Amino acid sequence: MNKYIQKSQKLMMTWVGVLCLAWLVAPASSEARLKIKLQDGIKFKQYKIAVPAFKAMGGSQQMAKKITAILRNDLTLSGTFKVLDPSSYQEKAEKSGIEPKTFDFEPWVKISAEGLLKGSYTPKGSGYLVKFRFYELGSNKLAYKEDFTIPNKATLRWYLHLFADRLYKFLTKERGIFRTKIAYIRNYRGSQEVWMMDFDGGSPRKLTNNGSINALPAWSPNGRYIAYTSWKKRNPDLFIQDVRTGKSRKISPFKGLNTGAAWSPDSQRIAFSASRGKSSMDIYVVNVSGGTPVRLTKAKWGIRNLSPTWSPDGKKISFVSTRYGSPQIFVMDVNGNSASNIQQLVTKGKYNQSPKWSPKGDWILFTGRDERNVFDLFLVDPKTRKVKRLTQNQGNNTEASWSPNGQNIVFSSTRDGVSKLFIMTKEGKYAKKLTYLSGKYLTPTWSPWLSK
Amino acid sequence: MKRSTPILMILLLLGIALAGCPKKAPTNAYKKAMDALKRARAARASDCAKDELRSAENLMARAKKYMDQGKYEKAKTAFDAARKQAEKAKEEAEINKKDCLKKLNPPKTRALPTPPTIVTAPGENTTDNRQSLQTIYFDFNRSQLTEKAKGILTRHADWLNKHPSAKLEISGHCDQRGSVEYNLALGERRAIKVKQFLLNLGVSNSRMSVVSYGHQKPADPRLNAAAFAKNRRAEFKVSK
Repeated sequence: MNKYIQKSQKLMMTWVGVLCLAWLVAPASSEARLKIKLQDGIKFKQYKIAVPAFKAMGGSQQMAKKITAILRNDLTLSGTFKVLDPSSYQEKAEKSGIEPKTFDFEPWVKISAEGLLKGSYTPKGSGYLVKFRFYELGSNKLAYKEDFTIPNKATLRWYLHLFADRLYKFLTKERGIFRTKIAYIRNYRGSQEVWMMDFDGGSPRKLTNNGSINALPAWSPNGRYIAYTSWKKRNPDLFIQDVRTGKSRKISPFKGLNTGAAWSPDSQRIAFSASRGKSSMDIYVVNVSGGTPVRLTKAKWGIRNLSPTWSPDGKKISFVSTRYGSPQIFVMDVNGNSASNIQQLVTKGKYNQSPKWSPKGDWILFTGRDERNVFDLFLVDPKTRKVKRLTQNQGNNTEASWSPNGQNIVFSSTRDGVSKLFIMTKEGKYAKKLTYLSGKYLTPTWSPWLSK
Repeated sequence: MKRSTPILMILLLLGIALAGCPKKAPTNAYKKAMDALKRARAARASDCAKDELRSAENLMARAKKYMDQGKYEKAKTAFDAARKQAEKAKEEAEINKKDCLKKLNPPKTRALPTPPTIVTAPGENTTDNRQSLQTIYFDFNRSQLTEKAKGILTRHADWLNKHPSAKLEISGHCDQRGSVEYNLALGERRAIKVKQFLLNLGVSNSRMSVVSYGHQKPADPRLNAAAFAKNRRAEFKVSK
């Protein structure tokens, strides 16, 4: 007994020591490099940036407006920035340039901006030359600049997202989400197809067109495939589809339900749940290249194990089980085989579903039903099992997916009536709607990073 | 006196202009909405985003009515709404264009697909209710059969036993609450419960198949208690 206490005390002391050291060292080293610290979690404060309209140098004002709007929207959606209201800008645009010494900083300091993004665009052949100038206020210095020659209109959005990514990296040292995509199910006029769009809701297009029911898309970590369940051959089978070629193939051999595809971090294996025509469900893992699925759980009659999600190191799987009655979140080792290997992660609430392990491994996101029978999003720390609520009093919020940098969450919500997709930060803040067209938008899956 | 007259005049005019402002017809909003509608039509919204275009046109008609009645503020709101809806219609039409134009002008060389062999349940399209296999309903998050459901299923078993060539597909459904995947599992359990009940009443295993649609195929898409109750169900499809 005493030994244990001594040992744990010693450990504690060491930890306190380490923490103190970290506290002493961290601010000095990180503040020098980082302009925006994302690690602050709940205390995080948005970075106030002003983005005045880009100057049209010989081109249409409308194009300049469009460019500005796309950039403002990118920065806003990330939740990292607060784009200051353009109607509050006091600079006389006609008399001010974008280069250093061609304008005053004072109007921007006055509205308490921390950063200022200026720019211009000039038509060039069938494309554009777009200049970006980012200034830091306080030091009043040009901190970051880029000149992009954009070949044509079709690639304009992509290049603007590229700039947003670079600015984000410059300010936070993290990769941005601006060139990622989101796949989802759109329930529109009786069809339920898999669609994908840019992270900001732009350029939506259909990935499946089989006229049947398709559900639960899951983007592979290497970006190449999307797995989903489809009734196109009447039985709900699991398919993987090449995003570029559109070719799909069936990878589940079982009759009955085959659902909840979750890719291993190396994109080589897929965990899924299958009923095999019985009243119970178990979690299986199958190699994408083929072979017989291996069963990981052994459900008793009527028990359902489903919705697997991998830890980023590929060693654990979190999932939903009804082994103690109502659905709850559990975790197990991928290679463990005894029942003692399975542990309950969330004990609060009677009805918890759809776990999604964060890319950094620090959180598991899930949907829980609260005492008023409303569905909301929560996080659980897989180590401490501490639970954090992300949404409340905003309709039902369900079926979420992490951005590849773990900073944002996309989810479906009924806060405006019919279910649409929304984006918010991992703290549950700054939720913004991504989809405006008619139909229900469900079960989003965020792509990995798709380009360097 | 003389010097102040023009100033008074200007003030008066200004006053009229200011007071008159909200009473002015919202021609700008009207023009913008009209342009948006034109663009939507040019994008073939009439074929590729019918519902969206129709609702934009309805809004437009309402706005014009307001304008005729001199309710300019209401008219402006409606014009703005019509413009937004027309923009949506255009966007929708552009996304759908490829598919919907294909549907309008199907490629001639392609062979037509053969219709599926599954026939609707006997009596489904006639008034003969005796032969249609009635849907049964479940309690929330439950797959247990209610007494009422058992009664209905007993009649289904009688009918099936009298029609030994008929095959049965049992589909399990749920209400919209809960995750897609959990509800698929629940729907499957419901369908299996039904199958087992019919098995016990002598319907052979080989004649029955089960499929779950979870909450993907609601009988009533609304989100209220009455709709939820209608969606927690097992449906039957009979084929020969």
